[in-house]
Amino acid sequence: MTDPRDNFDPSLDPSLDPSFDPSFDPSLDSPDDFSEDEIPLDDLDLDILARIGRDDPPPADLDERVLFALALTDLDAEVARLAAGSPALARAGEQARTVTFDAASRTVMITIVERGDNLVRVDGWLAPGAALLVELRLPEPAAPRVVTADDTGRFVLDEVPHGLAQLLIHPPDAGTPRVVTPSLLL
Amino acid sequence: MSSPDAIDADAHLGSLLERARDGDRESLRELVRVLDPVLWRVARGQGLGAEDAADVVQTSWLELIRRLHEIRTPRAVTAWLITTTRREAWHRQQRSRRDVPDGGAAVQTAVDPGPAPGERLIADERDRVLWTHFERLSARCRDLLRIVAQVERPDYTVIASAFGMPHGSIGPTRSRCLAKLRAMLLADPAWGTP
Repeated sequence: MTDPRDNFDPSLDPSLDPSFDPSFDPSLDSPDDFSEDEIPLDDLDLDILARIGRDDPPPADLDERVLFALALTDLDAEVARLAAGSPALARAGEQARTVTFDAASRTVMITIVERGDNLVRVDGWLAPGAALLVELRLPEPAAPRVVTADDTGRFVLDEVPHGLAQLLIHPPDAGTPRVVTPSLLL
Repeated sequence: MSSPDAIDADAHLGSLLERARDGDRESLRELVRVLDPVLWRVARGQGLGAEDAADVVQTSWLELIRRLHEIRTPRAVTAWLITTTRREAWHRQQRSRRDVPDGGAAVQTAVDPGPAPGERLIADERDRVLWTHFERLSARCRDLLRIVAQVERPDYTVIASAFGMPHGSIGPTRSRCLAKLRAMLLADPAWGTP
């Protein structure tokens, strides 16, 4: 027998509406509505769930990437998202790849070029262009690389090691938030 | 009634959240460790590839840090992260669909984004039998069981918010999906007797 609830169509889910505001507090929504008439799990159920749980695990370094990105992200920072058409951040194995991040105040485009000596060069461009301080954060103990973009917003970070990195675009004045990207795998 | 486990899970996440808010890195690390597998499943459940899913999970955490002080209750932090991950995943998928004119239909029909059967981690004969029958479950059952399987202590608020389902219906739906799979396995001689 087919249960009509099985025909779940994610597109009908109101939370997937782009205008949906995730800042609402779901805990206010009848938290006592629990009538779990479920059967307790036995060893077979637990074995089944354990087998399912082992499949398609998150990438081994996901926690590390998240924590690296969070380390310097503060309440005022503006999060830059991967733009349309950008490859995923972990995609490697190409000679050069271009990644674009969109934040509300600025777009950051970078091309990561393999130098051939196991280091990379990062060619970047800020739009709108401005001579801002651009910081490339690397995992400790490496010191961050800091350059200033030219008036058109172009910057170059050379001789950067492979691995995790995060870009921070420092604001021109105290009234503007700094822009942070997610962790990049260079 | 909420199960004691769910209340414990809430209290645990709540104290982690409080300490993370006060700048305790260890608590933040633990919060990430507990919730990353759930968020990962949520992003994968929206049909994203592995790399895109990882990016979306990261972005959701970055957003959380910015809004940490607006989130009032521990229970809300998980729900908020899950909702944000779904929304980010949805946007990411819409954008890639737009960029690949002919790829839209393929993305749309990707209901179960798990690896193709040939790519699954098959440790023994039972795994092989399990995945064969798993594919026969409804998409909703597959998604639900995959999420339940990632949650250490079943917190139905978390799972309900992941599915946009009423809290009270999660337990029965899980039981029903698990019972279906279990019946199929027990009826298959290749599964063997426990």
